Amino acid sequence: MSHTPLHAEFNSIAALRQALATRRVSAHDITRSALDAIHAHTDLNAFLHIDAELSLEQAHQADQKLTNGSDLPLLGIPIAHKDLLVTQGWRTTAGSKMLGDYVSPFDATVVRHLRNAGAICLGKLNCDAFGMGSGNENSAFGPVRNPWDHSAIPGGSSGGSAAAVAAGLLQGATGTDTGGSVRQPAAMCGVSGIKPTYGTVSRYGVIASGSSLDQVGPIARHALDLLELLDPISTFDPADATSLEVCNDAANQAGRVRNDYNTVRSAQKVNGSTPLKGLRIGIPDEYFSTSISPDVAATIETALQEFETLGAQRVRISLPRTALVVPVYYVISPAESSSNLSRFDGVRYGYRTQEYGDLDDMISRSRTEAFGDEVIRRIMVGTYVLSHGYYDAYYLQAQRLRRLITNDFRQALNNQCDVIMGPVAPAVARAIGDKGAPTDDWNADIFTAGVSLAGLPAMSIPCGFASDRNLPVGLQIIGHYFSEGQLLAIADCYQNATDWHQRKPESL
Amino acid sequence: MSSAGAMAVRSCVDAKRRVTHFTYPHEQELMTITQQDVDRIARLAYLKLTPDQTARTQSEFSEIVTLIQQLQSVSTEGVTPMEHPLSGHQNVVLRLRDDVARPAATPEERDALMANAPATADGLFLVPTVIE
Repeated sequence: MSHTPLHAEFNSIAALRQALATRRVSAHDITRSALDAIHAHTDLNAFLHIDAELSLEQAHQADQKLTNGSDLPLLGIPIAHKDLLVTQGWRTTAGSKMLGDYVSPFDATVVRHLRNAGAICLGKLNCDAFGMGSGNENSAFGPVRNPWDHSAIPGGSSGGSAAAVAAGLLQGATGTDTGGSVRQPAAMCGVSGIKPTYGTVSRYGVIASGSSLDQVGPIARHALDLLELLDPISTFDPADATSLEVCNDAANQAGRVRNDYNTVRSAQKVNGSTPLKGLRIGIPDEYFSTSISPDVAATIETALQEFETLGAQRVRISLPRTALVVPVYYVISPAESSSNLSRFDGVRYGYRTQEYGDLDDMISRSRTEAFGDEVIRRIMVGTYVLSHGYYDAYYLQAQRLRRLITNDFRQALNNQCDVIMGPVAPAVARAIGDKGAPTDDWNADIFTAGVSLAGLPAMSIPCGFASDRNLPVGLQIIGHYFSEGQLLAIADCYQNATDWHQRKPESL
Repeated sequence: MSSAGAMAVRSCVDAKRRVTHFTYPHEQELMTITQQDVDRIARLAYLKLTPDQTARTQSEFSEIVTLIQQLQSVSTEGVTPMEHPLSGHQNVVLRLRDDVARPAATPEERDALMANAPATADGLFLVPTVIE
């Protein structure tokens, strides 16, 4: 591209918000510029549905409010939603043929909060069908391409969200994370992402996968942008039965994450050139075994040294049940998914087969024709582990081990360290189409799925590139429950000292 | 109590950068899944697999079961199953609302809610005849 598009001239949400507030740019021009960029990058296949009229109408309303001096935090900021979040106006497919034509009669709570905060929706982002996958190759609408290397996967399941941010098509995007689906694509596309504590962000209107695991989380370039997107959506919602009313002693409401961030960041600034003085970073022995590629290990090591330069100290810790994370996750997650997906019967909504006999035949054929391979695989596994005679051995045993895995994290965070750091994924993005056995992708969730089982918050920030293929590597920062503000302040500190998060693919 | 540390986990990154883990818990044995098992699970899940899908599922299942069977190798005596991930950290209340049916407020609301249905007539969902 010969010149930088207007919306991409601003390196952060705050900078763009400032330019909008002073009327240096209009929400209309920013939205137009972003829509043009999306059109120019359709080869990425990041978007599943755009509707310029709807977006420009929101921009028009934003411009009116800006003229009236409104101080909504995201007023005029262009974002987009993963296609697992239902939206009025835009189709919501969940990346599956099952919901190919689905248009929701209501907005997800997260969509509503971001709109109320003034953000402009540019459309819906591609993802693995029903969030099941880690390469975006399980979308019924084709794979998403990694902006750093068009032959590589963007990661998944929020692959469209991460790719769109990395390509500079928008300022931020929503994703969902069940076992790593925000953190892993953020890592593979060289952008930042955060999965908040389970129960802090509403899942009302988020198409359910694993209900004891699912969380919505934003993806953006900078940790500060994540703060802008996460704070307004971290709010109690009576419509979600698992939504928390309190986070430790604080009410679960907008302002909580921002206040925590401000408190931690102010304390850091007292320490001058060693802002992270006193921060104990737990390094799990098990995360640095031979199971990660040497490139990733070396890049993470360099990042950890940078954290030491900033004043933090490393503490060796052990998460002894790390090897059990993947088997436990791939019992609990498919079990919950198979249960959640039983609602798709081709009667009230969704795909219906053309030819069928009786009701059972119609339901079974509709499901089999529309779900796709990975979804069928997980429904089969989930049904198996929940079936008579296997429930105790698999599901109940997995729930017991989930407690032990959670206790390991809590023990470390209560007694030994303030945060835990390590890799997000064992390797950088592989080539599209280079799929091994289904369990190969599953095994690669080893560093992210344990955090999900424990319900802890964690983020991924870019920390360098693999030496030979120039693909991004992500650093995972795991915190104690409700420590989102602290994690963002630590990441912000690192991003002030480094510029990995500002690198852009050469093709742009 | 034995822990995961007792298991031999070996991993490598192959030339294509795929990471492969090999796990050999000693008490594990390969579980065979028959075609009848696959048919039974598919029936429970309301899926109608083609012969090809059935054969593929059968072969994949042995690998998947090998993976999840690792759970059997750990003693969890006396451990309470964890249903909510935060239940060990703070009081968690699952708020269940009453499951009460209510009619749509207006015909327009009903139409909006039924707009995604594959087949409707007179405000009803159409399905194949169940009772002659």
